[in-house]
Amino acid sequence: MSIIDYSDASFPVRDNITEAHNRYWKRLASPGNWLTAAERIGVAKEIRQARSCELCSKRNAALSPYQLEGQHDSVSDLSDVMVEVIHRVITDSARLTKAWFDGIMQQDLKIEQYIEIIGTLVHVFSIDEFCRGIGEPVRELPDPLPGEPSHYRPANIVEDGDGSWVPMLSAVMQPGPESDIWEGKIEGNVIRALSLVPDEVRSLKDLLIVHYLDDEEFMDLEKSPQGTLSRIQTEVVAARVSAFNGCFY
Amino acid sequence: MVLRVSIESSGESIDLDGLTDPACTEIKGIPHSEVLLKFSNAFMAYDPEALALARDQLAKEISPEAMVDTAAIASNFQRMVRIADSTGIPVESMGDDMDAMVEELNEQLGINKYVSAANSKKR
Repeated sequence: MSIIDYSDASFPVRDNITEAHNRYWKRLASPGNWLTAAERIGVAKEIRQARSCELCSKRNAALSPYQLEGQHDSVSDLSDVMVEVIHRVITDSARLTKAWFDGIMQQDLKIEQYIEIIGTLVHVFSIDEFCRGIGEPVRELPDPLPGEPSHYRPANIVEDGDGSWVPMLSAVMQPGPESDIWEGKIEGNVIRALSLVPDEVRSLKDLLIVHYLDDEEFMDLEKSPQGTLSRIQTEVVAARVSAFNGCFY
Repeated sequence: MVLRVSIESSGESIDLDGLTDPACTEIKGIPHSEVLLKFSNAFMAYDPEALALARDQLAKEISPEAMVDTAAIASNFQRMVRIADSTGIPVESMGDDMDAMVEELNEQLGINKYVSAANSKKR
């Protein structure tokens, strides 16, 4: 099992970041709910490949990215539709459309698999991007463990997604196996978005706390999340990065 | 939006107009905003040399720990946008007053013109 170790990094990485990244790496190496461990590692490999994919590069430069057909430069055994999702979300997410999503869903991909791909993608990408930010190489991916996906699907799913493209758990959590995720409050859509695969929300929250702030503290505007930057300084970075990404949400 | 509320709750008066403009290099009234924006710009430009310079400057001007925290925040927001974009989630209502403030800020900063607004506008 590959272990993430930042002790030799040029800058001092908090222990809780290293610990959270290792918890995720361990999960990445294990079978998920809808993907095998090998498929999850395949997602991670494609994330790292997407930025050098020629088709993605052409689409990125095009005014009409959906007019360009072609094959992605893939480095895994994942299906074409999975590779299309990963490369497109990594390289051109601001221009995703409902028509694109509907087209993906008409291919051989379950919505639960889609959510687990997105969860895996965003978690691995945030860890890779953290490494880039502190000037360290991306960490070696773990070897996949054997086993089959559990095919777990939670109850209390709002199938129409309350206006989103994807089904998700109710904003007000019902008692049951998912009540650890956001008990006792109304949860925001960006957290709910991955809740068709609840473990993706658990990983999101685990990483969110160490990268940004605890979801429970979001509206505590006096709090300095990690102690070195004020909340205002934190939000300056968040806002500028989000602006580059064209993030309306 | 959080930044605007954060500033108002602190009783400060800060001009946020340049926040979404990469050409804006400093926001008066926010300590060390210049190095934070410089790091964010270099990070999002995927420019290794500029990022190395910004990293060192931020570590020197604030602290090495703050540089790591800035990288953690920046990488977090590489994640959150992709969740929103790939799931087509609408922006939730936060009540009439807050919604009006957000709409005003979105207009002021040009956020309503983002392509992803078509997917995330309240439905």
